Amino acid sequence: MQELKDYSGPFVRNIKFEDFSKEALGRLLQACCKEILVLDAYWQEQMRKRVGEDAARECLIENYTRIGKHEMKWTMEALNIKGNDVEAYAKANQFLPSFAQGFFDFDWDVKNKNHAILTVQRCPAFTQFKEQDPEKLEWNCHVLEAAAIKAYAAAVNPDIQIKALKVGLGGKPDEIACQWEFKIET
Amino acid sequence: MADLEDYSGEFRPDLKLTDFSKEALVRLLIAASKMYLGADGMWTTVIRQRYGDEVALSCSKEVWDTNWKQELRRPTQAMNIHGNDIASMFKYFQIDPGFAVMFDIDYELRDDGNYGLMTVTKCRTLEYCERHGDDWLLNLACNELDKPLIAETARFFNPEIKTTILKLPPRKSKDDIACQWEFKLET
Repeated sequence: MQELKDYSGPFVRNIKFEDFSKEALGRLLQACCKEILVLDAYWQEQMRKRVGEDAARECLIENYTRIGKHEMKWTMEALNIKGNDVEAYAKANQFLPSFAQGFFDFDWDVKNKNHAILTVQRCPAFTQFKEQDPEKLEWNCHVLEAAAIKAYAAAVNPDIQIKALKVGLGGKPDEIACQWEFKIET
Repeated sequence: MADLEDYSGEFRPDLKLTDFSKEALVRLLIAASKMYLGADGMWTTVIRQRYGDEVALSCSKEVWDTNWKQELRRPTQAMNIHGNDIASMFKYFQIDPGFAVMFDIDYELRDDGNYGLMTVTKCRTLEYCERHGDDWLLNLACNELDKPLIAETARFFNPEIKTTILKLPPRKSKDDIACQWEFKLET
């Protein structure tokens, strides 16, 4: 079967994902990644309505710290990423569904296998909360992200040390969203 | 650069999704689908443990009452799926990361496309519930969510599509199908 650029043509009973072009698969993957973030927002909203903001935040932290090891495993298995050093963590992080390229703009500076710096230039939450809800932004960056990043890194290696180099509002108009250092002391 | 079959090699700072082979992208799509349904399941678990079944049920229902349209909109846009017949709906089900990626499903169209039969032969949610003896979760997934939302999805494609459930879990044997749905477009 000729490679399909999309699925605007007729229904194909036994169609497989491999029948689509890489570009189509990329778009579908992006749609799924966006859905992960949207679904998460709906859950937060419902919990906020029922049990309040603080309790909803506690649930959010628990959710990400528990799902982290699974998301890392699924991603590393999908891309056959082996190892337990900082480089392996950075490679998996580049393709995490909940941290998808296109929604987040980020750059990894891998200095060596045990030392890397992640710079997030654009983050949807940072952009949204910067103006609307600075308090939530600070919580998001200092509490939620700190806990989630720790859990995700620990899934690769509990000895990965994380240092926040720039987190939260800095007050500059064109500031980066955040910057983190990952290191394993040898 | 040749397509990468995986990412077992060295770190590349500017690697993009399209640098991977099609097979690698499909595996990544499955990983993303697992995360999508896994995160939803984790929310349900966390809320059940903290606030009980009732809060988790009402939360989940309200989340999906809103979210199902988002789940429909993005993949259909990404794959340029249009139309208001059963075939168009089946095309969406086939590529939906929250549905087809995770389940084995057979589709049959008859009567010039005015009759459709969808059979889920393998459902990972059902298998999870059976493995853990979790009837509450099974009821949530099948009766509280899928039952209304699949019919709603059919009406979204065309208000004249009538949905009939031919079979829903629980099942007697692990060799049985998970569920079966019939769609009729009255013309």
